[in-house]
Amino acid sequence: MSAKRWVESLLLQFPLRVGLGGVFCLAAWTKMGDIQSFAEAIKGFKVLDAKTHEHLIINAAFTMPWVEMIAGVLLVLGMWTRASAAVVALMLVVFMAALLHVIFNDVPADCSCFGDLSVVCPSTVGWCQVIRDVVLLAPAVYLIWRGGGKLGLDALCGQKSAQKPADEGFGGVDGEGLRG
Amino acid sequence: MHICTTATRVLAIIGLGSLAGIGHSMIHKPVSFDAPALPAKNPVDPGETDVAPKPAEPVDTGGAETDPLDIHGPEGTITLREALALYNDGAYFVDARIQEEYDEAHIPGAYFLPAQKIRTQEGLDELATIPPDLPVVIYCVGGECDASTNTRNAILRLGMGFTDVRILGLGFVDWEDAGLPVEHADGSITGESP
Repeated sequence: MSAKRWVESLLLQFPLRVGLGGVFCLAAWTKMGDIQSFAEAIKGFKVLDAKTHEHLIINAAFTMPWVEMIAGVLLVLGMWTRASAAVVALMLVVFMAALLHVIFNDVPADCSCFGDLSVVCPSTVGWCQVIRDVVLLAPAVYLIWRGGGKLGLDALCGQKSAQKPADEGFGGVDGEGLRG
Repeated sequence: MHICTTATRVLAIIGLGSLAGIGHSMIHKPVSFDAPALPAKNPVDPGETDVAPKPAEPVDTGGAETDPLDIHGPEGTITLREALALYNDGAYFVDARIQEEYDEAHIPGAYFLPAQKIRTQEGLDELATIPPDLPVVIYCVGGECDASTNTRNAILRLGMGFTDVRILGLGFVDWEDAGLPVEHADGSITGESP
């Protein structure tokens, strides 16, 4: 059983964690480098009226990259894996809703998902970005279900807390809550 | 119990990100969507956030409402005919689309200067080669794409003395469909200036 968990950790959880976390760190880093452009991109989605919700859009432009960065780093480290994967999944769902709004309302918008980089998809919003987000959502959901595996800080902390039964902070197989 | 732990951590991550974002906004230069004030020579009203350029030339629209060259884009932008007149007069054209689209085809002589590039040293160097007292026409894909407005605001925020910056209301696709000059990736130029 334990060997099976190790194989799963090595072949699935670890690469998915690092890959998904890395993608989100990259996305956050490129946005942080040009907040003005990102704010203009959010405005271009026309989900909110820029005249009445300018501050909300600008606050989102500052906040969103930091949430992405923190969730990404935590995923890479394998710390609070389920929670960070849930944050990533939540953001992806929000992104997809915004993308669908743009597509169905025929708004010519620039994605700015990775700043001025074009990762897999062109910069202009289209179905490619929706598919990319669905592809990214799959590992996020998997990590929420299975946790970070044996090769993460959750597992390390879980082993230590297992040696100290009084500490009930971590309960999952890999040292984190929310059992699949 | 475990679900509560995870939910608490989700909120903690979002809260921490929000705090970091607020902190970042305090040390970052102000982000705004307002068009900067323009030099007096500029035909645009500085109080307006959207573009309101003067027409390049008087436009004869009598009986030609369906002519693609005279179709008006969003308020305050110029038509294809006005842009064409400026093109023939030697105005500088700026392409605000993405690199791949520019590489594929663009208006001959147009600079590739989207807002993101203008905020880089490379973009600044390229922009510095445009005489600020000559008309600049910015175009993107077309319709109500924000890229042109963002580029125009980015240019004006630099305070380099540009006095006549206009936005093509339709866009490159309409320019190409109207049979106007287009430079392709292989260097060939199709279309003609009537």
